[in-house]
Amino acid sequence: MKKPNKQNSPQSAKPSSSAKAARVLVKEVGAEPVASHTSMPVLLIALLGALLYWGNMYVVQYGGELDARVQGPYRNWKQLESLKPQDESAKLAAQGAKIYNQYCGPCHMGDGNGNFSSGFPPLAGSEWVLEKDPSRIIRIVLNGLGGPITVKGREYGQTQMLPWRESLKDEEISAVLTYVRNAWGNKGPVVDAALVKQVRDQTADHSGAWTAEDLFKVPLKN
Amino acid sequence: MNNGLLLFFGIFLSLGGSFWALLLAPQVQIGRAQPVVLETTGETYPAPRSGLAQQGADIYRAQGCVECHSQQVRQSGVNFEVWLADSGSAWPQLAATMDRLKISDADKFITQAPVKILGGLTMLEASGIASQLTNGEAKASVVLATLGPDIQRGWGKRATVTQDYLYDNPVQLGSLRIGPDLSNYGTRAVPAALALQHLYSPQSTMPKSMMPPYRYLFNKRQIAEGQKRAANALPATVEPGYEITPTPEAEALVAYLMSLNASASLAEAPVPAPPVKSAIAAPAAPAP
Repeated sequence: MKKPNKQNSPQSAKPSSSAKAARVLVKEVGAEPVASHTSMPVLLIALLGALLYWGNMYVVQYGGELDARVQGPYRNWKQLESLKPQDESAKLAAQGAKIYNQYCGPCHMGDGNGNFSSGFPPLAGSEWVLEKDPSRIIRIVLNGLGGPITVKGREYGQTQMLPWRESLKDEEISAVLTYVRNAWGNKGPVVDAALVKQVRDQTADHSGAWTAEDLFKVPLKN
Repeated sequence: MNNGLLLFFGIFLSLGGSFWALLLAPQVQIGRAQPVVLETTGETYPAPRSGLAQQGADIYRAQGCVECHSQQVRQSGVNFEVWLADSGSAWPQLAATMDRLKISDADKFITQAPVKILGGLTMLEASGIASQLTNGEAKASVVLATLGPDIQRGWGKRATVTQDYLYDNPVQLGSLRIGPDLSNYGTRAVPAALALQHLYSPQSTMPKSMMPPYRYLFNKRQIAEGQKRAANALPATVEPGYEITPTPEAEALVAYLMSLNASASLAEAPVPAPPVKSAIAAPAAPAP
């Protein structure tokens, strides 16, 4: 009781602070139960702390990173994605993305749209890239390309593409071409590393960059 | 009252906290869930129920089907299988590789491709074996396998998720399984006539069934000599000279049961997809 009942209190005649009145009351009639603060047992605090820790860890582990779509036996979205078996082309493309960003991206740009004013043709939606038989684009990557070339109806050719014959292995060319053929809305079949090797051997004595004219002479299989 | 304000805030905090965690947060997270377009087929999922099936959901609720049947498939985890998708043409070489990997019955597998070779592996083990078997024309692939007693019983291929219940109001998950789980009833290829027969007399189709008969959802009608039976009459004759026809309620209930299908492969709940021979992309043809 915060304020003692003034009518019944023997001290009612003397108006004083309620705390003082309570103290006097305790002296006169013995300890009256009074609500006050008691310190929490340390053990209980420790227990609550442990409980809070466990609860947090539980949410971290099973909460799916608070993504409502992650459910069931799966822990989080990343784990869920990693559990889906990828097919060959997806794996190749993932590997190819890294190579692309290192070697091709600086000119052809990250979005595959190239740069018209600098003479870098686009790869996204390019008819050269989407050609079912990749033997022409493998040649371009191996030896580079110079001279005028028409891509998506526009003339390019002020700049020459570098040859990658020495710097990229067959598997890397296969991966990067598979990536280019399946990125930015492109949809094309996997470029086999064996085919890259075959083309590399065939064109071993070809010196200098390709021109569009020479490339058109390369027969395509459909 | 001592510490009234503290008490008030304490109560406010605990009630407000549970209101937030149990009602508001889920509403924020999934309250605006929309049908998704499936990657594999391009269809939207879930598809809205037909009118009859929608009425059936109410019958399902009214008849208390949910008391004995659940609509939730649980999944305990995943592991991985290795499938031989294509054995190619260099069979002796492939058989030698399989021998080296200690896979018995290599010859049988090679002739039966696409076929499951190994199961119960981790992703790492499975992809290791698959990459060793993939050589030249021979292709092996890793296939996800979903695990759990419900999946073993054939009640579904994956765990049911929020997306499956988008058009259910109320969601009739059920908590008892006196009967089987019905989340995938529509995929079990039960003809509608058999489902109706089961409703009329469960023990006639399933001898040990504990399901009570729902005869009041059917009409018993006397047929005169030479009179044709109704088109929707149950195929089994219960009593000579009589036929049993379902009421619209029974037909709606069966339409609802047939619409239960939680087997689509979702991004958040992938379904095992064993390889099909024709689906494997052939490598581009080499140039001359």
